[in-house]
Amino acid sequence: MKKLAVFFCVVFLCGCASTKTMLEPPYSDPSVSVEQKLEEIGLTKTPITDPKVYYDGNAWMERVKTLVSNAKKYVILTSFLASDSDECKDLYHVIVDKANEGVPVYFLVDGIGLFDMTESRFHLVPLTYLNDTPVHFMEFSPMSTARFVSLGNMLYRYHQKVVIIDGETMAIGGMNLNYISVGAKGKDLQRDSMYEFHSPQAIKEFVSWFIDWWNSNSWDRIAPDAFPVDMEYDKNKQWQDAWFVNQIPGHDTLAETYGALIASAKESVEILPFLPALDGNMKKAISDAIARGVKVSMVISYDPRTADRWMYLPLLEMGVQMRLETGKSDLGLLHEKLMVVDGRYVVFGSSNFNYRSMTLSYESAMVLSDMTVAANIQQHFQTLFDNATTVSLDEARKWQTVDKYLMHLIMTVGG
Amino acid sequence: MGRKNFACTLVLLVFLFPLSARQFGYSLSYGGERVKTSSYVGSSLRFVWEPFEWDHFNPSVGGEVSFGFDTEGVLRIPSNSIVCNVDLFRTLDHPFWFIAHNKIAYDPSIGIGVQVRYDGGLVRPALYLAASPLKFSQPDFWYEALSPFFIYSSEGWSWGVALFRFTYMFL
Repeated sequence: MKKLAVFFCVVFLCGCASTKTMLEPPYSDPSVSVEQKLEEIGLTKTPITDPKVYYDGNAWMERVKTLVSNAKKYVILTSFLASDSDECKDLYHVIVDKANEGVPVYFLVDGIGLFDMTESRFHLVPLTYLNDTPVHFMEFSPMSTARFVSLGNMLYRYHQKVVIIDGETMAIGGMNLNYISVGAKGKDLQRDSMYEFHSPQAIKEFVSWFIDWWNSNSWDRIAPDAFPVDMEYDKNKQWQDAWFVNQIPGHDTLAETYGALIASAKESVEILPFLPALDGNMKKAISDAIARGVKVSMVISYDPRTADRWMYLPLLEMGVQMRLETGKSDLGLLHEKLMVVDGRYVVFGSSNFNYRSMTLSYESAMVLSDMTVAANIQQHFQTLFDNATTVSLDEARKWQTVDKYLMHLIMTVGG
Repeated sequence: MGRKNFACTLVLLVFLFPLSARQFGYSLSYGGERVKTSSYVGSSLRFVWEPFEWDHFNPSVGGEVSFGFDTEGVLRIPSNSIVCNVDLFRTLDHPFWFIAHNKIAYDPSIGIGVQVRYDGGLVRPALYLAASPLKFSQPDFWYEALSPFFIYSSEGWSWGVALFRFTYMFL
């Protein structure tokens, strides 16, 4: 029995990943250019058009409705938490109507969506009814007692939020397709961002992976040529240098990307981490940057669960310019994920700046190199920073309690 | 065939038949068996290799270790087995679609294998025959319920039932 227990422990631990490569050369070497580092990681350049940024969930829902309505070849939608509700029913009608027209619609959601513990749970209508429509619907790793046989693999969750229309338009970001992300009004509506752009290369890279991945998880097989991409689309537009990061659990791609960018920072790093549960390697990457004289700033969301408060003191002691949202305004939870480096590199997408996103989740992120876009996004960050409050060391020390540490541990693996 | 050749053949087979998206998995089952000298209630752990994804007569091979409590409440390892299973057919058109949120196939299977039994302080070989009339699968997960099996050894016939078996195909 002991041997059996050891075996299960080994299987479980083998499934856990580390972020240690983010501190290894060449990613940690400030003398190597960002472009070289990204190439070393295995990222290929996927130029994109100027992204249109949506900060309002309601506006994004309207945009998704328009995009899906106008689709002619195919639609791919993926989301971490996705559920229907009175407020979202028009969106789901549009999706089903499009599939009824004969346009292939593929919709992938994480299986944890039914256990949504946010305000959405009071409005949640499960999407399983989509199985009775022509929508190709799949739940990734459904939560069931039987599935616990897969041990640590249950920790792997699908966190990407991707929209692809006709192989021409792509959007990634932090917004789910549920009540609190796109359907709610006022304080219930989370503050977040979605970036819409054109990028045949990024779309091609994503759909190539998506087809193989979907086919290894569903009997509803996709033909290899089901999602054509027009590589000449918008050829005459101005393209920005960008690199698409498609993070698979257990791989180091995202950690290396963040490590490479932070290690290359010369002046500033601005981060909206959402749930900042950093492991030792991530903290070291930040503290090394501060030691080089880089100004690192973060805005922490006001999470009523206070799950993120434990990290406040270590980050403050490292010298991070920390601000905490007050939670007193009429604004909803800041769910946005973002990093800007030296006013030039912008990292946007679904990944939080935490251990879970780096190791245990499917994430999509884009590294964009453009000073104009970066300046606009820095301005957005600065507004959030200015409206948040400082927390003293004494106050942060009061959050070093057992219950907050337990919440921190849960958040580290649970998100 | 020497051990080295056997290992090389196995490795070659793995690379020659990458026809199934997920080929390797493990399963955990719970059930009981009645043998001449005792009865066992417990679980078994099985490692599975499924090289193909054929719609009919799809084969898989599994190595299994059982562990269970005998009638005196003592935890024992009653047997180890190597089993070849064949899914007779696979269909998505069945009345049990409601058991899972994602599309799930009905693919009943039968199996034959050899077992090494450790009952009554003796080590003896046995023939192992099994059926899974209620087997349902997704590419990454199999669900089996009420799967009977029969064992023939020098003691004669004995039998048992795996009340459920869940298989996770991880690779």
